[in-house]
Amino acid sequence: MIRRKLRGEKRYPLVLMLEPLFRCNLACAGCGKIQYPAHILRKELTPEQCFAAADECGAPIVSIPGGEPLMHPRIVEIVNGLVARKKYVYLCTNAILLKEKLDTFQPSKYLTFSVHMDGMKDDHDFAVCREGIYDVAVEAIRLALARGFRVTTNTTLFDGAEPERVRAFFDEMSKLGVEGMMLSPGYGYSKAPDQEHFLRRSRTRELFTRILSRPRKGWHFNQSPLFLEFLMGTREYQCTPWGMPTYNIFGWQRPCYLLQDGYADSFADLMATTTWEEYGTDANEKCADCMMHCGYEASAVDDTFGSIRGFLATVRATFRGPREPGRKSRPGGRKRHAHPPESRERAPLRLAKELPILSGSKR
Amino acid sequence: MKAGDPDAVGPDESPYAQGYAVRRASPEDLEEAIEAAFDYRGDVTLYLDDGSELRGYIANRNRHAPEPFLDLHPSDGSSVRRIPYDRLEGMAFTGRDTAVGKSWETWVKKYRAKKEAEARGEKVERVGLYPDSLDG
Repeated sequence: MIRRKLRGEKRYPLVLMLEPLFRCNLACAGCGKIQYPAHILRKELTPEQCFAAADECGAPIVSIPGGEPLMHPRIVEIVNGLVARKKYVYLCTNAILLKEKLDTFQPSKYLTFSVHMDGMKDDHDFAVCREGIYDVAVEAIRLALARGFRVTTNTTLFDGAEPERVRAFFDEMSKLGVEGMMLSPGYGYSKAPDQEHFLRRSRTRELFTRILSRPRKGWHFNQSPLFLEFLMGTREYQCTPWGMPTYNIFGWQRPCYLLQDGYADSFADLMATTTWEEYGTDANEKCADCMMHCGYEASAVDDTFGSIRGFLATVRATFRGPREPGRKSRPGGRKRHAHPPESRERAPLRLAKELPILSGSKR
Repeated sequence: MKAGDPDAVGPDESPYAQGYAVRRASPEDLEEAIEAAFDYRGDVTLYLDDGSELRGYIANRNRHAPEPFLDLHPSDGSSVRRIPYDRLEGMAFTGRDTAVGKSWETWVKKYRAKKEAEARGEKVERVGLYPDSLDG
């Protein structure tokens, strides 16, 4: 990334979002990714198509969402090929098939199972529209950890999420031993069955401030700390839609993982011919409430590596926890503590062991 | 319960719903219909200038290309077809819109009913929403 910056490249990808199929074994209310005719849902990318996309794109991280990637009959071949290319692979799964398929994978520092967990048992089962899935996922996580796999969780939050329950969920996942947690507000897919609970920008900030203020010891986040501050409203970013380009059975998706405004035949074509200026918070009404990691985490990472100030802010947030909105450093670096009685609870924002700044999400 | 339960499908107020058709339309009307078909999550039938018909899913279109085109994934699973706009005489929205339905409302109703039954001390089976079958 630094090399690309030094070369003066204006736009470069950090994570390839590789969707090898749209088929899923769940029908989650907030997901707008799987509503297609049966003949489309039967389609899959071949391993060769996946490798060609990864090679052409050149991103160091490949996130494999879907659909449910473990339903792909050649997923092991795809993962092995990407690992052989030294790509950091985040296989995003609902974990329904993880126990059954686990032994077909090899533990590797390049492979992480990113398990979709939307909260405590009742919250998760309600969000994925099926009871019993939380227990299945927890059992699979335990098993994967015991077999030496890297495991993280990814959590999508919607309006109505209760901060205290989310914090208790983080405690639960930390106790389980996952390497890191990732969270994001749900994007308002126009095709998702539930259109009522997507978060608006102000509500997102309020919710994440309440969730992330005074993080507890033992919470590890697999995300840029500056992105977490963005979610809390502490800092503003513009979207970086090319930061996490998406490749699927239709081609290279314009302009990003969430919006479908057409497809390019090649990655080079995507980068060269997409009218990027037509997208982003102020430029497109479909982007107005979006604060998703696939657009803004790349902005946060760019901030970290783009200036000394950004780098120092990342170091500060990593060791002291994310800064709440309106709380500025005093001269001399001391901070005002808005919550003195609980400030002892404030812990460094611990990040996952490797490539702590980014990961992918299923939706 | 299946996510696309036909009994659960509600009315769609958009004119571009299943059943909509346009024949021998002006280029402007056709372009508007193509945009709607691109957003539509069901199959369409294309009527071509040689009198043939093609049924499938429109996954892409580019009206700004030197020769505007659309990409159709045929319903029979054969390879994607790139069709220039000027070969189109019309189209019909023939397949079910997979994004339309009341599955969420039905799920909430079912979930609440189950929780209420549990609160009354009744033993109830687990409830869930399942994707449509890909058979048939």
